[in-house]
Amino acid sequence: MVGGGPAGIQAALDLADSGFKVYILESGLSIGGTMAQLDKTFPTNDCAMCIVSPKLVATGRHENITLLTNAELKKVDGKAGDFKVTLSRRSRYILEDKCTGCGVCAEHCPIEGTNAFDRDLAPAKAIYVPFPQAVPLVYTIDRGLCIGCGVCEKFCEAKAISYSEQPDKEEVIEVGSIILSPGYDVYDASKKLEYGHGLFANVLTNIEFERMLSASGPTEGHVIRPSDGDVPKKIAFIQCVGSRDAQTSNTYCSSYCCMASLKQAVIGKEHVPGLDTAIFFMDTRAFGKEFEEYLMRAENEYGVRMFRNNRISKVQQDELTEELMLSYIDGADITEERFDLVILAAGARPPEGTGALAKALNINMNEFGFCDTDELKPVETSVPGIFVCGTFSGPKDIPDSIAQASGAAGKVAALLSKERGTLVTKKEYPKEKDVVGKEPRIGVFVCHCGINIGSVVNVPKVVEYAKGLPNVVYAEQNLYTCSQDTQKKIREMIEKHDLNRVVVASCTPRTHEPLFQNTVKEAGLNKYLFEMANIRDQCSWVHRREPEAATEKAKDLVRMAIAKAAKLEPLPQPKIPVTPAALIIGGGLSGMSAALEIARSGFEVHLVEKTKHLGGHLRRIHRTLIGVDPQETFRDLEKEILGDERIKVHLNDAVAEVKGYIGNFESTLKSGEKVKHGAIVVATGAVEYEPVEYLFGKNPKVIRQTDLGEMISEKGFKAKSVVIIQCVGSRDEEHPNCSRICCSTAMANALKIRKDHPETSVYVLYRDIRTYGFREGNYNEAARLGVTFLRYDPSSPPKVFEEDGELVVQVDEQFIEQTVTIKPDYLVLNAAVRANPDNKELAQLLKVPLTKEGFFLEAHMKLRPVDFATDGIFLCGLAHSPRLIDESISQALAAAARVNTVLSKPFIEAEGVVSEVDPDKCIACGRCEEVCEYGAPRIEEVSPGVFKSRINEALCKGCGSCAVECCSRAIRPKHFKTEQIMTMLEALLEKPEGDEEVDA
Amino acid sequence: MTEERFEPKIVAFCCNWCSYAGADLAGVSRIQYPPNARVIRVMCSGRVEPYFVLKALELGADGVLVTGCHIGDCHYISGNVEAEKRMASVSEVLDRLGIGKERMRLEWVSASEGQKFAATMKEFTEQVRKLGPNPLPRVKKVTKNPATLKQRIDALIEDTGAFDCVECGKCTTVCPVAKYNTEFAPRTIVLKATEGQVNNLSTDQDIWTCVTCEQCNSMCPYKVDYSGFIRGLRAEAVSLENEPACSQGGMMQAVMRVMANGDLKQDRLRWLTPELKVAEKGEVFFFTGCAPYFDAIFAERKLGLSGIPQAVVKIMNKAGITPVVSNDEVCCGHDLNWTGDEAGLQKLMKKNLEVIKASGAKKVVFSCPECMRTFDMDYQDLAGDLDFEMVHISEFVDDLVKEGKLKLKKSSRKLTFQDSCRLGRHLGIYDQPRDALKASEGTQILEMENIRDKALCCGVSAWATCDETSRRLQVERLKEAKRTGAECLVTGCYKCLIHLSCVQENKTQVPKEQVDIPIKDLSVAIAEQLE
Repeated sequence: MVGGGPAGIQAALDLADSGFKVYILESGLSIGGTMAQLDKTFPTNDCAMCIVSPKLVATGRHENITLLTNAELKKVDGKAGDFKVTLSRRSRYILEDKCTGCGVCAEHCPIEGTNAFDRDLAPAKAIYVPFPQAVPLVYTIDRGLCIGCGVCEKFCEAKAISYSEQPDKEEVIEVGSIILSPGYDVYDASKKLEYGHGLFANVLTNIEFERMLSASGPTEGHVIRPSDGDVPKKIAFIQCVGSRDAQTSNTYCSSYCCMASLKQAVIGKEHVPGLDTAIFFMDTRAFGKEFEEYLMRAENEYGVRMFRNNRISKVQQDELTEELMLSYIDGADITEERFDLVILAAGARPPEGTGALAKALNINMNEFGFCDTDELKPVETSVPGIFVCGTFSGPKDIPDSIAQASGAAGKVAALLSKERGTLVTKKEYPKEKDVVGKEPRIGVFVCHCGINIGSVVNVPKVVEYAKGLPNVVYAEQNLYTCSQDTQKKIREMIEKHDLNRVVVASCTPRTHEPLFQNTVKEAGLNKYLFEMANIRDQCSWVHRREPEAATEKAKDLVRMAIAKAAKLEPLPQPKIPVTPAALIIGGGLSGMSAALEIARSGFEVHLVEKTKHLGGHLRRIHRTLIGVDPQETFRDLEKEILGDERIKVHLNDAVAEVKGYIGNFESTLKSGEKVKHGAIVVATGAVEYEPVEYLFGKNPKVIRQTDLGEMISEKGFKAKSVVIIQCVGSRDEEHPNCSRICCSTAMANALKIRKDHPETSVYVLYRDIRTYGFREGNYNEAARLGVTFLRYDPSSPPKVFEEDGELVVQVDEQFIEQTVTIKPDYLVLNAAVRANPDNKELAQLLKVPLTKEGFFLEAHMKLRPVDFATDGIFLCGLAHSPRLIDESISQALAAAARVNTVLSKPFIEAEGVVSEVDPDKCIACGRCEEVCEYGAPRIEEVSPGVFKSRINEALCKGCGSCAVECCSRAIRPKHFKTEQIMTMLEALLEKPEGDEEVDA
Repeated sequence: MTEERFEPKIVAFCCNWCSYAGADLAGVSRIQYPPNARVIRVMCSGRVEPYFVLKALELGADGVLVTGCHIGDCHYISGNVEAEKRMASVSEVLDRLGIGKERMRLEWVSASEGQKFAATMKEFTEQVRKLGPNPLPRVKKVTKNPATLKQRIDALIEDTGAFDCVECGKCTTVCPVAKYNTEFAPRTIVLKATEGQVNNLSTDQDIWTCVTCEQCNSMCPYKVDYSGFIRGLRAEAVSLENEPACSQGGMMQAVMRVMANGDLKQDRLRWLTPELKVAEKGEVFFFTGCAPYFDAIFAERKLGLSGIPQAVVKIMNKAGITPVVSNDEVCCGHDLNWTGDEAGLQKLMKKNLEVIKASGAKKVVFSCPECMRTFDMDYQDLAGDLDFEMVHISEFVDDLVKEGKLKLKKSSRKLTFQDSCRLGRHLGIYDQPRDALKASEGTQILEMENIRDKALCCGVSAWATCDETSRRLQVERLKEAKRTGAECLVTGCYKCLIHLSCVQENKTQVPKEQVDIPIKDLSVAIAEQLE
């Protein structure tokens, strides 16, 4: 992987989970990419760090992933299946395997510079980590700032500082395939002198504002004017800075900035009550799933002022107040307004250095310096074996990047499928000791963490205290409990003192629990016989001025951990066998693409299609903007599928019943056939809206876009003029979703007409033109070829009527503020993409959720776009939301890759921390079933007439909510049982001398 | 002498994903905050049971903090939504108990909100510091001397007449639990005890399976007080750490213990709407019972229990009576009594008797038969004869109607009546509820198959016995009610109402039409017919 941002991480995890070894080559100091810099993500307003940091941790810990950070790719030799990659690693001047990330060095470093992560808005020490949740959590010395005073070395107890390291080291690795995911850079807005970035203090870019909004950013989430620190009252957002810009030759659209500014306006208003925000758009490009709804809420509920069709030409500054002045069109007039802060939506550029990268790899780039891809092969570069994903192939938002990443992973998995499992490390552990029924023998290890804990908490006292607590047979202190040599010591003590429970009092379980669990497992103990007390992040670090209180707190926390440890039980991690087959519901483009990809990876596929043909909508599409022939593509796909003996096609069929769970599904089709499979892909597509407006169905000249497409592919098309109306049945109260494809379709059709029939006039009646990404070029081309674009406001839509046998279209054009009347030969309605009405029934069969508009709802809108919350079921294509052909293919490839992570394992290991039902107490009331989002508890007939709830440990996530819902307390969440929690409360609050009194 | 500042002890339940990470970030950022809190990590804020909060306060914590992910960010999708509902219910309970909802706080902290976590710690510590130390006293757990266990069992056998048992098995034949649970038999429990087998009392589950409905008592030819025997055994078992698995994790019992041990000013009269007339002193005392607490604990189920005391006062007012209703009333102690907490019962009794004395009342009216049974039988057992009359609302209404002081409208209702165990078999009140209902002329009582002293128990007693057998009993009862053709099942007991409604709300394996008869309380059914 070249690049460790969200896309790189996703692809790496998918591959590592499918049995392949992965190297992540990251030029920065930590994985996480731009997403780590974001405060919140649209449209859910989720905290970006909250959702991405678990993935960072999982990536850092994965035994099949090696992180090569602070590295640069130098050259690549060889070919697909056999590449030799030469890379150079810049030195951190820190010994990576010694640094524990404790941070004492940075505390004492006397030098402050600025921090690129915080966009130079905040100071950082010369020895630093880019952000607190960095993975790997290893410090780096900025030699440019470092003065060589040696203070850090003095304070580092781990002896990790190494000034004399080589500045650069070369390394060669051998890989079978390469995925490029280097992300993007933000356009340098200071190049647009007219906007004043870099000149005026109160002009920032989106990403700089994002850091300001972040609670862990340079201003701790306070929105302030950089000039004087005051709270701004009015903020303006200027869109399309450095995008859609002929002046700078960046004529493409950066895709995500409209949504990013909307989000920042909404979040800004939450941070500053009464804040006035105004966004100046060219078009409002809110084309993604639930984006239009977000926009409507921003405008109507939050009161974000939206100025459409308003490109700002320049920003001026009032020298005295440092306020900024913009002029814009407001109705018929030009208005000037003052703002306290101006945010520039600076667009995406290919990341720095990728020109050289492209040369080194010999891959084709497009005219803008992004990686070039084929519309039908969205994750492949021009070099076989080298794939691409994320913004490097074109600006896009996070879910599309993630889908592409999984798709690229899927392609790699197919390419290397024969070598699956050969390079991964398989750890061997000794047999687990049997501790059931034995008295607890607890060993306690209290960490100094250098001086982080030891300088505040009296560690020796805590150790002495622990020794006197019930069930403790051994206690010691360590300088760094997490160091390699201490792991050895722990194993030895377990052996020597026959320990059957271990407590470590040190830092946070969130980063270190897996490490210690691994250690006790190596010593023959079940990994769940381990408990941690957090006496650093939640004690010594936050009570520095109260060492006695901190020591008392540490004692309390250790006592609580020991009490819980005494009640811990070994937990099994049952192995669930996997049927190496997939069921794909829907035989359109997405279904077919997924089917082929899964089959190529060596698994059986059942492709179920309700009509008598494969192909879905693809059968009726004759051209795309890029110029490939979809019909040829379809024929190739169909041929390959029908010829592949691993794929069984069930036409004229549908799914009648689905039983089972991940790895073990059994479905019955309507034809009666029974299918056993390990995973499901939902690819049921969508339908074209049948308009009731604009005389559709009443006048034969009123047709839809698909009809037009077919018509102009045939010979004999003749028309004097064609009118195309956009947004028919989309972007209204009832169906707010933007149908995404229609603007591009309109351009494709319009261009075809103008090229083949220059005598035909084409009018496009639009609200916004949403030709995002590189499709912007087609919009420009259409305009150059004489397509007339007429803008209407949704409050006064076009009027269509018949007059003297002729079709008349009238539209109130917004620019010229006049009513334009056209008498076209054809009126084309770009009808909405609506959810397939069959989704409802299927959703109930599979027990998966739908959105308000009837499309399927994925597990997480940002980071899990093709997964359902229920494990083992995936989705792709129009069933997810409206999308273009290459986007559907990306998602299909992604779904296939996700399916591979399930089917590639002979068995799935369930988590140990799951809940279980005590059947004796269960009264089958069903409340557990109702409250669980994962479908884990199910009421089953366990014997004739006797019903009980049973929790499927393959699906259970261990949250424990069902346990609280169960009035009879028949459900026990393992590792967090009520008695385990109660014992902590009692250990904390009950007096040690006992609360009991014996009554005669 | 310098005064030591009160340092509150705070327990913080933090969810593993967002809020624990936020707490860690505060640490990484070295943001200082007071050292008063101790964190207990759970996977999700949805794991936090209302019982944990109550128990923490009972054990002496001064404040309880629950933190989780922001709504919409929950790692388990909607666990925090459940947490929000549950903590809202806990807040209500704390307010009504007089502990005050300010001692508990629910806060959403995201993984990047280190500042917010520290600020929350600071603010909450100060908030609790101002509230002062936990008002609940440290209660010493009183255990019985295990050495003299046998003597006490022998005395129990003597007192309850269990010694007279001839093993005829009549009790087991009529026992509703034994009907469905073939492993349970009242006879064998008595047998075991009389044969001296008391060693297994620390693990015996049978003593908790009994629903104390007294079917056996009513059938026993030798008048063995079986239910009293079970109660005595339970008190011993609890002393040996054999605790019952009470519903809602023991929440109700915790609330009742707080009322017993604490000396708090409750806020339990919010159900009193302005048009209801009550007084602080008077001849008639209306003992309301735990409706305000059940309504708060079961907020989600919308049982509307507070409608029952409202109906009672309405009835009394209509008859020209202004009853005493006291905010200092505490739980009668029934549920604690039947789950082995004798000490709790005694404390509650003492408080209640003082409250009634202070009011000057000569007559106490109950809408809950459990409260009445506890006063009439258990209090008098412990404290001797009480110097006031005790009547159930059905008796009260019946008397008023017969005296012409109350008139009800005519109606053509077809009702059926559930003889609750406590009202029927324990107290012997069978006719008055029926007469009171029929005082509304035209009302028909369509009787179920098993009525009066043969009535079927609603399956759960003192929150301790809800299991499969209870469910089956409840379903049977509702089926019987439905079969009468009545339009409504009237219950004379809060618990019957709660437990039978529970069946209708949740999944059962019988078709809904067989059990979906509307259920209404007796007092409400009467009050509806007031002129």
